[in-house]
Amino acid sequence: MIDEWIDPRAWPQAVQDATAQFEQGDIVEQPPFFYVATAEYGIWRLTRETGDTSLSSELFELDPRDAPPMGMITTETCDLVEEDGQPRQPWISVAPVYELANLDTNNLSLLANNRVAYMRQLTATRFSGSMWVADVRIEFPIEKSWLVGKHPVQAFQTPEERADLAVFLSRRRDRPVLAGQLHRSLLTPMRRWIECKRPQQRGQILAEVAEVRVAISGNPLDPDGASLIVLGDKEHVPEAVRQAWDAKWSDWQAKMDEADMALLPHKYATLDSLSAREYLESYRVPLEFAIH
Amino acid sequence: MTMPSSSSSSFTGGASSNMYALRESVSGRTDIDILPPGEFGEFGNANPATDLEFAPSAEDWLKRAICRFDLTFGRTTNSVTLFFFSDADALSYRLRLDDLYANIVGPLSRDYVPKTSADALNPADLSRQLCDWLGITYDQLATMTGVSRASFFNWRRPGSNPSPNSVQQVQRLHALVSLLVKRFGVRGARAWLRSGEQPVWDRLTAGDLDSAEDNARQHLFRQEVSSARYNELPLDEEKLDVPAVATGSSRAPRRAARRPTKRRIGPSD
Repeated sequence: MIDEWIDPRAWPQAVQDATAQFEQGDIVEQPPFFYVATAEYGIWRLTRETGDTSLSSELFELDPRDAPPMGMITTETCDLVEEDGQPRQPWISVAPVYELANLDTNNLSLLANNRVAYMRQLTATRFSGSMWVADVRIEFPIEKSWLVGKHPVQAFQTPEERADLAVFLSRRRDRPVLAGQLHRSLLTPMRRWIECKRPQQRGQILAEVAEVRVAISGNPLDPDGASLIVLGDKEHVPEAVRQAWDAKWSDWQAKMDEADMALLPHKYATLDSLSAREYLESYRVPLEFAIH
Repeated sequence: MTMPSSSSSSFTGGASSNMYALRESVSGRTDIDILPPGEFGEFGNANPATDLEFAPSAEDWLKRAICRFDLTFGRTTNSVTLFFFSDADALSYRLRLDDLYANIVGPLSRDYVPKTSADALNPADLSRQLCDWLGITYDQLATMTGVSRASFFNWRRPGSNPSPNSVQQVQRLHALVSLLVKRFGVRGARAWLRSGEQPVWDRLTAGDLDSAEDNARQHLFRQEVSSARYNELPLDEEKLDVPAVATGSSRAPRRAARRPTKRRIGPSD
């Protein structure tokens, strides 16, 4: 049905010219903010306070006066531009971009270090005066025709930050399903341990840590054991970091034991020393959090 | 042909014999004992200590054991011929295994009883359990952990204050062995530790716990890697070859009658 209604001959040149200017991560101004909901069980305030409870399905659009002033294109650049061959993807996804105020130092630290699970701070010069974020909890489908006449605004200062955004977005949908008991006994306590630290302490226990992964023994949905892999980049994590992580092992091991799982001591490696197989066979532990 | 159940008395030949044959036909190697002779008792033997008694049938148990063993060593086996020996006959039996690998869930062993927080073991209990599981003396445990033999006995005294480093060494070994016990049962864990050309057991008895842990990680923490091989990937991004816009006969698209309303929240705040 969707393909039948795409006419590649009628794909306006103006649309192709417009999309060619944009890349994933670019900012557009005044995107629409809309979603479908059921007012009777409304979650967000707009749904609860303006919805029609007699309707089982209702399309909500936020008044532009209240809507975020900008949006970030989250569609991957190749799918956005479609330079090769026949275009097949009429729509892009745009996440709201807005300014956050009154954040405490802990939340500012989480955002500045890319440790918020659903937001990214914009770092380009024009956003430097305050905390501007892209919030990917909602993304709006917008036809590419909407881009005609619009101009991209850079969100980030460096190509590396743009590349980090791509990784962040891909990981949002690339989360393995692991046993609930593993989350309750190991992953959640570990994340809480980090999250509850003050920014300076958090920086200390994550100093030089490139990634934390978990290796699982047995079925990931019913494991009989696990082990954390703490990865440094080129060098092993500093001894102080290792001591901090090792000091927590007994606590987590006891929780795992209660849940009938073994926890082997943490493994410390670098991105150079860990084998590709060990990397692929283990699971990245997200160290991003919510802001409060 | 249906395998005899574990409670059948028609097969009195040793499981050890079967396992020995299994070793030959599955791996074709002589350096790995799946289950060494003498470790698993006999079919038809009502000895409640054997893991086989816990399995609903010998066939089911064997299939799962083979699959778990294969996965441990990162390989799969489509089928395997087993040889069973009774007093009168020797039977061969071919198991199909390829449909089982995806469904290996749950522990094989019932040696490991899940604990509650109230059951948390103190260092003395952990040490005692390790000696039981591994069938070793406190002298051997001292060698494996680097903790003095006297410490294990001191820990039993009320008010003892074990050093954190010593406790952690015992906890590490306990974590490793408990993982093996959960996976293979007590007898299987002992067998696993002694298998291969460079048995983990040798590293443990040399006090090299790091190396033993590395070996366990290497063999037990295996997962299916889902990435497709290059020859299974399209050379380029492919799109479905669906005819583009239908001409003439296509019904015109219709918009839903309802229209979204741009809304504002009332000035309640």
